Amino acid sequence: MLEWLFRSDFDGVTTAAIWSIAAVFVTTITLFVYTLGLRWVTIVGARRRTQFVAHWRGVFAAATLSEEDASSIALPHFGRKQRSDLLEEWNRARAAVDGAAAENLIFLGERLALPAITTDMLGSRRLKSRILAIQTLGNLRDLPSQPAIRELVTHDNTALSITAAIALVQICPDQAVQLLIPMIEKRSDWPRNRVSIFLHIAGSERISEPMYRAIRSADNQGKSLLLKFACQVETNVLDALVEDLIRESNDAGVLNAALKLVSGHSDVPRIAALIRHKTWFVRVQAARVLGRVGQPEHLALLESMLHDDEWWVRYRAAQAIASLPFLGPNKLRQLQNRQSDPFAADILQQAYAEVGLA
Amino acid sequence: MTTGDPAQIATHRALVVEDDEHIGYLLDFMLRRAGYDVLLAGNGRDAQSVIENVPPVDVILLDLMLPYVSGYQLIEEIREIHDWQHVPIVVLSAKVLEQDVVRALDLGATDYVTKPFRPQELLARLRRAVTDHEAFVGQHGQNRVAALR
Repeated sequence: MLEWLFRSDFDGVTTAAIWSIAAVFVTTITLFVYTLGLRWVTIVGARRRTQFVAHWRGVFAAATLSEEDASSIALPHFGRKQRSDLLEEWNRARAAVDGAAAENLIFLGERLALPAITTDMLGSRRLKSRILAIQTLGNLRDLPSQPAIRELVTHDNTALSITAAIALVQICPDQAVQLLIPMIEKRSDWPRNRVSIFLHIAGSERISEPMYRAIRSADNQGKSLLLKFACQVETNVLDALVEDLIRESNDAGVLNAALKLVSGHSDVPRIAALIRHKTWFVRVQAARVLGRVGQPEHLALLESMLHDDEWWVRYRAAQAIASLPFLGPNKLRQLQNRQSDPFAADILQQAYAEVGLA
Repeated sequence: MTTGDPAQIATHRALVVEDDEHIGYLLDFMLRRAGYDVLLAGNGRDAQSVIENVPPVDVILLDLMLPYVSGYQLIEEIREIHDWQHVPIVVLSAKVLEQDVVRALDLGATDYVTKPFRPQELLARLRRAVTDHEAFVGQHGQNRVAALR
């Protein structure tokens, strides 16, 4: 049938052209079949994975609700390639619950030999596997892995070190906070939300003293950074810390961060000086603090801030005045009427309008 | 949106609004085991659709950080709909700050539970919310009958 192709009466160019067309055709068909094969493998793999995950999700949900299920439920076999999916699913389940449900999942994890599997994965060359292993060991509260995880806290890789930090707090919170809190200042690469997570896991009672010491001993830049996490410290420690910093520091960054944390339950030291601070954003924070504290003796200070050169200071002072609980609509109107400075009267008008007094 | 296992005798109906697939599955699983008939909405829009098209449920379990419509907005909307305004809303959220809790309760949430949660505690809070709601509905019905007489 293909005799014409091998006939010798074609010249060389025609033969070459015919053979080229044939080669292109065969290559196209081969690539098409290969692509279909890849697609089929992907679809089948995804379907198997979905079934695998759905099955284990049910197992973990049952274990979450009952200690009996956690200890007696039949555990299907899983292969080496399915380890990552299993660990991810177990971690998701573990992260969702607390208390007895978490203990049930840890027990189930031990039945699945997760500590051995993840300790083995810690030595993997793949970053993703190592992070998954650290996360799992943390969620398992696996004490034997503590030294290895402690070493990883100082690793140069940010994802690895912050995951190790969180895991360490889960495993041994008391020792972890002593190690990690002084490190926050130096590890500026650690994402703030992740730092907040490990502080939250450790609990305010546990972190209060080390945070107080770390903030007091840090330089101004370090103080400003650490104060961003200080809202997780116990209230009485925080009030004392903020009071000390406001009394002692004159750095604009530190004062700004400290004033944001003033609870308003007690007097603020040096407030009369702070409303005249050379840095405008410190004056802004001072105005906001006076609004929160809300004492009658501070009204004169707030009124004086209505004449500030900086619009934001006047605006916050006006807002603070409008929010004072002891001033009714009539007194607020009288206060506006007695302003000889048109800027002060204007800004009060705006603040009153915002609270529906215009 | 999925419904609970119809084979089980459901005494109460719960609307679960949760965008995290895993937590949604877990809540659906535990509520069905506890005897609830569950309506599951994966985002704020689906929840609005359920509220518009379905008779009021006995309790709502609501996440705050949701796609399209926030949990706060849903609380406000539910409290403005006549048939749904008294349905207890238990918030289940990862937001742990005092101001978030205060805001949700001020808007009309009945209770607030933070993630990660304790399943048995959550079920107890839901039971309490449903019981209080039933007592309220019962009392409300008696008052209306008394007023009619």
